[in-house]
Amino acid sequence: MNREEMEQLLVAYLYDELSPEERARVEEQLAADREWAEALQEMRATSGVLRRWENADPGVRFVFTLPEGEARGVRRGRLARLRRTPAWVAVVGVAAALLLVVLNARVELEKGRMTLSFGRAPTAVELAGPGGEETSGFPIEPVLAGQYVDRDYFLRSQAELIRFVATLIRESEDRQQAELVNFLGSYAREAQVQREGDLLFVDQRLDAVEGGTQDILRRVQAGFPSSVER
Amino acid sequence: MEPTDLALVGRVMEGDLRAFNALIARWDRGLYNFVFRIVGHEEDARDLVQETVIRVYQGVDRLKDPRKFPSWLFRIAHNVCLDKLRSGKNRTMLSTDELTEGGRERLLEARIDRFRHEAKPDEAAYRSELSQILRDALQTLSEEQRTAIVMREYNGYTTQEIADILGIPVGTVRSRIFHGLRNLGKTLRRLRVEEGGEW
Repeated sequence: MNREEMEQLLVAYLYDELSPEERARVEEQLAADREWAEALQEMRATSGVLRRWENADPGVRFVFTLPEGEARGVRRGRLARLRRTPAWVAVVGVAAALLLVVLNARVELEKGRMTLSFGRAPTAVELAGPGGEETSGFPIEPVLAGQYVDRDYFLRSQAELIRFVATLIRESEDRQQAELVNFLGSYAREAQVQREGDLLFVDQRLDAVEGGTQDILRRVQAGFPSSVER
Repeated sequence: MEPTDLALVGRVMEGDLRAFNALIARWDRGLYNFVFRIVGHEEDARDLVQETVIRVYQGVDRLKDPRKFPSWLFRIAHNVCLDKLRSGKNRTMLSTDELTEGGRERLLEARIDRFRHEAKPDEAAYRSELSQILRDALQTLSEEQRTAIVMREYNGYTTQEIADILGIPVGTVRSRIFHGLRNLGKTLRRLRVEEGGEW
């Protein structure tokens, strides 16, 4: 028997998990080697100390609070949305934005729907839109190295950028407001379920107390045991 | 008559939320103490048990054998603890002494010294101080040794059951317990000597 095997058997011996044959083998080793006997003695003492640490009360009840009627798949979806967005999402987002610039992307926002197209830079007529009115897209015209950029181009691009960002902010605000309303609604529902759960718990405990009291009463009515009477 | 765990698990698998909460109410004390002894922090332990409860509810469909619910429950709790410990975001406040090499052990020795020499006003104070020493002593072990010892000493699982829960060979579990108990023995030896040798 090598050392590692003996260590493992000693633990099994300590917790009385060995067959009679294995116990006999371990006891033979313990009798022959004082080091193992001392190790066992110390492990037994340490185990005894550890068991003096009593279980603590958690101080709270652990209740699952989502509405009972909801389908399990829906619950998972909601929980998933509440989780924090991982950091890689931001990195991918920035990379995607850079890609859009390189590919001369055109983004269109209309009634909350976004469409994306790639290709040549739009002309001034296209920028003005049908009838001369402004479009809701953000055209990005690539500028080659050494190419002259005039004041008109710069001002137009800047105006487009401001309008595009304003649109994004407005869409984002609308979306956030909607999400907040949804969240508050679900929070209120969960609070209600929690309250019902608490009431159920109190009810169960009261039933248990009542049962115990009735049991005591029955025993009192049936008379004390003879040993108590003496 | 109270329904058995098996009956409750069956009802949970049919989507009965009340049965689920009744089942958790039977296990939450053991679960909390298991998690608390692994992470060493009460608030973290409460959060992690709640996280465990959520994961159990979400995954109960995947439980193939309802009779294995308790070990499955503890496996999930253990995974939740591991995620927490690996993220390094536990709330335990470390003093500058603890951050230095061997600082945690020195603080534990100081605590044991105080325990040996200061008078305890009552039994409750004695038990509370002893619990804190044992909590700190367990935290000096590796997570693997701590988990094996906690499952064996406090949750009453056999080494074979621990091996099944953790998915490792039973010999590995026994080795972890052996070295864990030896390490703890060195730390707690002075405590035992003071208390009269054997407890």
